[in-house]
Amino acid sequence: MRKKSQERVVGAMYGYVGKLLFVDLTNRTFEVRDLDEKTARDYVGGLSLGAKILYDEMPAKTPVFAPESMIGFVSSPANGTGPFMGGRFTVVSKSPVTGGFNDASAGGNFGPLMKRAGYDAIFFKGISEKPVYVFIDDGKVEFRDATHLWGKTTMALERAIKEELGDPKVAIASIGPGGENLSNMAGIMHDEHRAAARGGSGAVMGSKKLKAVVVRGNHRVQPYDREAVLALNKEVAEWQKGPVAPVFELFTNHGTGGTYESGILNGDTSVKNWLGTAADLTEEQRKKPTSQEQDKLFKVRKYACHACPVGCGAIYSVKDGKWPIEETGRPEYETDGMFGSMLLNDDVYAINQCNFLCNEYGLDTISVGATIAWLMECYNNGVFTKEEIDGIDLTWGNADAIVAMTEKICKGEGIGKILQAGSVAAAKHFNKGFEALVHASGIEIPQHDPRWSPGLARTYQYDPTPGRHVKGGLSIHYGNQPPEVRYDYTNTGERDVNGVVYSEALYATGFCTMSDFGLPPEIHIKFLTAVTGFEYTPEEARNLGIRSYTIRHAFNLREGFRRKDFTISDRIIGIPPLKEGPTAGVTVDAKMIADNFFRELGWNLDDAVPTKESLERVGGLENVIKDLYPNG
Amino acid sequence: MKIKVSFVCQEVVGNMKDGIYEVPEGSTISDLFAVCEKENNIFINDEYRKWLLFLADGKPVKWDTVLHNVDTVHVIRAAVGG
Repeated sequence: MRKKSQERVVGAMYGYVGKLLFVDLTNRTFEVRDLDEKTARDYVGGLSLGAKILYDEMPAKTPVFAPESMIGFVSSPANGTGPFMGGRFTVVSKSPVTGGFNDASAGGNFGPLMKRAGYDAIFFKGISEKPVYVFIDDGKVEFRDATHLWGKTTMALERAIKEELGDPKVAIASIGPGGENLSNMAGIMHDEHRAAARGGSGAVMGSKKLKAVVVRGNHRVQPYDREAVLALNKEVAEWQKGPVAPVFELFTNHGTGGTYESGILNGDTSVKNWLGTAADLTEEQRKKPTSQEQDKLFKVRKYACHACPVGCGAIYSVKDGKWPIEETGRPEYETDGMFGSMLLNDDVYAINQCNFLCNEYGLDTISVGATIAWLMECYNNGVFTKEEIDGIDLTWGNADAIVAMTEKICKGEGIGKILQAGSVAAAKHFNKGFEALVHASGIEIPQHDPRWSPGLARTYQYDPTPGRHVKGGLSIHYGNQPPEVRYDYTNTGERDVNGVVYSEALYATGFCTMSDFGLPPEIHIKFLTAVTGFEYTPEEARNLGIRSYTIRHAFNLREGFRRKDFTISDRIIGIPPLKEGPTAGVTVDAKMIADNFFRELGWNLDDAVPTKESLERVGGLENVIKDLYPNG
Repeated sequence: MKIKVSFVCQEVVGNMKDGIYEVPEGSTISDLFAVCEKENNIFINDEYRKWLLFLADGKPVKWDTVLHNVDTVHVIRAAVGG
C-alpha cells in the first residue's frame, strides 16, 4: 500500500486550510467560517467554490456597486500543495459589464500565499469610508489606511506596500486608477505583471474603496498523499518531454505571444477589428510582433508562476524608442493581437507601451484594445471626426495614435473617460458606431475567432462568464480539425459538454490554462484526489464540472437572464462571411451548436433553464432547485 | 513545380529553411514536406507532425491535398491557445 503523508483523520481537511474569511468593509469587521467537507468535495475551489459562495451569500439582483455586492478571492486545492502548474486562483464577483456572474483567474503566487495566510477564500462586502487595504497576516486581519496609496499605479503601489510592511515577500492583489475610476475594463493586478483582468472585477474593488489585499503567513497545507503528488508530477515531466514538447518549448522560450503569426495565418487571430485577414499585413508586419522577435529586442529574463515548470512569463526592458520602459511584463498573445493585428499595427514599441499602461492603470488589455479597434473602424468610416476624438488621428496602424488613445483611456482623460466603460457603453453614450461593435453580452471578444473554431461561438455567447477564450467547450483546439469536421454543426453537444466538464474541473482544482497541453489528459482529477483525498467516480468527476458550470449559470438566471439575453455580434460568427482568407465563406451555425449543448445538458432550449431532473441528477444544487422550482 | 515554403513553426521543425522547393506536378503536401525534410536533413516524427497545419496560397489544405498552381505554402503550428 502506498504510504500517505499522513493518515486520514475523520473531519480533517487535506489540500485546504478549511477556513473562509468574510470581511465587512463598511463596519471593518470580519467573520471566519469553516469550509465544510461536502462543499469542498462538491465545489472544490476556484471559480466553482467561488460561484457557490457568491450564490449563497450575495442577495439576488444586488446592484454591482452596492454595499451588499461581494467580491471573493478563492484559492484551489492545487495551490501550494505541490502539483505542477497548480498555482492559479480566481476572483469572483458580479460583472459591471455584463450584469451577470464574473470570474477572472491569474497565476503568480497570490493563491498559494493566501492559503499560507490561513484562508482558502476571502470575501469582501460593504464599502469602506476611506481607501483601505486589508492585510491578512498569518490569520490576523488588519484594516490599513490606503488614502496615501489611492491614485498609485500598480507596480508603484506594490512596492510602496512592501516597503510599508517591511516585507518584500508578501503577495498583493491590487487595483490601479482604472479600478478606482470604476472602469468596466478594470482588472486586478498582482505580482506586478500578472492580471485577473477581465469583466470589471477591479471596478468592484474600487467601488468598495479596497485598494489592495495583502497576504502572508506560515500556515502549511498538507496534501493527503504527498508521494502520489510527486509521482504525478513525474508523470507530467515525462509528458512534457513527449509529443507536446514542441509546444512546451514554444511557451517556455517565448510565452503565449509565440503563436501570433501562425494565428494570423490560419484565421484564428483577429485582423482589423475582425474585418481583415492575413492578406492585410505583410510578412514583416506579421512577424515583428511575435514574441520570438520581441524577445530579441527587449527580454531581460524569464519567470514562472508558483510550481510551474513551463515559465511562460518574461520581464522586458525597453531601452530605446519613443516609449522607454524600465521594466514591464512581456505582452501576452492576447495583448499582441489586440494592439497589433486588430489595429493593423506592427510597432512593437507601441504594443509594449500599451501593455505597460494597461497593467499600470489596472485595465484589461483585451477590452482596451478592442475598444480602440471599435473607435478606429468608426473613425476610418467617418462615424467620428478627429475633433470628436480629442484630435487624435486614429487611422489604421497609426502607432502614435494608438498609444495616445490608450493613455487617455487609462487616465480617464477626455474621450478616455467615456471609453473606460468599454466599446458597448461608449457606442450607447455617443448613440452611434453600433455597426462596428464586436462583443458577447456586452464584453469585448478575445483573440480567437469562431469562424476558425466554431465552438467558440457557443462558449463566447453562452458561458455564464461570456466572451472568454479560456472557458470550456469545443475549445480553441477544435479549429485545428479539418473543415469537414469543424464546420459540421451536428452532434457537437457531447464534445462541447465534455470540454466544459474538463475546463471547469481544471480551474476549480487550480491549474493553469496552459495545462490543457501541459498535463496528460484527466490527470487533474488524479491530482485532486492525491491532494484532497476525495475519490471521484467518472460520473462524479463529470458532475463536478457540470455542477460548477450550472451554479455559475444559475447566478445569471437568478439575476433574470434567459437564453435571449445572451448575445453575440453577427460579424464574429460570419454574418456576413469574410470574402477571402482561410475562413472565407464561413457562417457559423451558432444556434445549432448551442441547441446541441443545452440538449446534452438536459436544459430547456427556449430559455436555457435547467430542468429540475437535470439538476437533481448532478446533485449538490439544492439551493438552485429551490430558487428555480419554488413550488417543487 | 516550384513552391515557396515558409515555416512558422520552428519549435516543431527546427531549422528547416524558408525557400523555394521543387516537386513534380500532382504532388501532395506530404510529398512537398518530404522534399523539405530531405533538403534540410531534418526528419519530423509522426507525433510532432500532428502539430503541423498547412496553407496553400492562404487556404487550409491537408497532408493528402494535391497541389496545382500553388505559389506559396505556409507550414504553421496547430493553435494551442494563449
